[in-house]
Amino acid sequence: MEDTQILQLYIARNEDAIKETDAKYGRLCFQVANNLLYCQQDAEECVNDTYLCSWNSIPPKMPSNMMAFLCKITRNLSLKRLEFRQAQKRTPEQTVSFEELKEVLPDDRINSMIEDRDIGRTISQFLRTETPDSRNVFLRRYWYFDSIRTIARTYRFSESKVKSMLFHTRRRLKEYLKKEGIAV
Amino acid sequence: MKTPRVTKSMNYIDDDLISAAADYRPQTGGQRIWKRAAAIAACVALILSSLITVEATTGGISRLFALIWGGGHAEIVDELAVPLGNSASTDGYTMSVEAVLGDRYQVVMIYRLRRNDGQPIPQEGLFFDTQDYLRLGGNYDLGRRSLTTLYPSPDREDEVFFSEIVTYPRPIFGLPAQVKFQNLMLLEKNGTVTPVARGPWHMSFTLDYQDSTVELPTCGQVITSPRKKDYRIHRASVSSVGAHLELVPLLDAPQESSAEGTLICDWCDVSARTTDGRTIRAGFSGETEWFLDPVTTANVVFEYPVDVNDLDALIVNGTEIPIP
Repeated sequence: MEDTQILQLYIARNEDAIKETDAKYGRLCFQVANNLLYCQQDAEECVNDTYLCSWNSIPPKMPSNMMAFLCKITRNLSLKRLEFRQAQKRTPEQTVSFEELKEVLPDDRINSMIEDRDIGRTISQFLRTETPDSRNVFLRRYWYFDSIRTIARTYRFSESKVKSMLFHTRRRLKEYLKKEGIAV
Repeated sequence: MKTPRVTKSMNYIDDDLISAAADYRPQTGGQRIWKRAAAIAACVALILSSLITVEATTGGISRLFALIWGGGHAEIVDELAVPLGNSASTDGYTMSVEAVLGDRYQVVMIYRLRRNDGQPIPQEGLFFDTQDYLRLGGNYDLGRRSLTTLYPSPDREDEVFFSEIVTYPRPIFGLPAQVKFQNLMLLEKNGTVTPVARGPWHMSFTLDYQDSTVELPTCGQVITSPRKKDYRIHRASVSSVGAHLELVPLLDAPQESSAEGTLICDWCDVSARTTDGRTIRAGFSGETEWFLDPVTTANVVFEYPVDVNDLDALIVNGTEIPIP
């Protein structure tokens, strides 16, 4: 079903909106949550919370990009749940991609006047200067939290190539953020 | 550990970039895309033999392949594999393709990298950066390569070994091959990457080994995906190394695309049964991603090589294909 048709269902408060959202984006949202949480039950709960959130926010919100809208909600909820689990000392083993990004922009190096939204906008600008391969490998790793192996399989790159691309992109991003005054 | 702020900030990345990354596929030459999988990793036992040298004599070559499969398959490896030894030396390092073993659609290659000055070489973390290629028959450009796995040398500090599986939907047996490696890099434990040697190392050889491929009489067996879509096994062959499958979706069952995460390798199990009742697992090494061609072609590699005459049946998602 087209996104506009799904949105119509939301507007009409037709509960099929959730069913159609799940059919079209459920797998992707689950993947985003599961990549972070490594727990099927938690990931499924995050996806269900995503549907609840979208049900409550559409309308008045009318997302122009349904996929990104849903994935962002799932990612946010999953990060929050992950933080909660970490506080409860129930941490997953794999937080490697956090560490990798942390090196690019440590919290204590962020300009105190800068908001998260500005950092996101600057990273978007940077990514638009990258080649499509580099940009999408970067996003698959640090936005969708795919494993190196998954990226390599999906894009038909060697794992070594993926690691190398990520390393170089992180290095360029670090320089860019410094140049833009995000990092001090 | 607290979630870094930069990770949270990335939630504000532009929507179009996010959705594009979900669907993105790198450019390729054709409509029919061959996807190579990292399946062998699950099957590979890293058992090192004592001394590994290239010997064009019976018994020597199996020691090379013992890096991948351990030392228990010497008889079949010695029967099928071929020693090579073509090498290229540049930038203080010599790279050589030591041996090949394969079937009609896939080949396993062992490479050796050695420092010319005899100084120690890192035994882990080494890899070749982009821009290397493997060409077959002058026609196929397999482009990006994968599955180049590093093995420490069991007895010398100045060398390491790499294995590579090349898999293709069309026959590759007997074709001349050209290989290029370059940009030898070292991935440190802290995640930094440092260049080691630039290369390039070019090698040419022929994929001329003992092809044990046997075509199987298929009777239109049908396998069903978790989404209840049926595929007919159009063609199948098996060898001592693995198997080759061609699947056709039945009418009203459009092929599932990888964008939906439904590659055949994600839901299809392949194994072989021996005449004495053993089960040999297989991992997908590659499959075509459907665009226009209605046939999905997939290759699998067995967890270890086996004499094809000792195989009784190929089992695809529970469906048996007898091996005559």
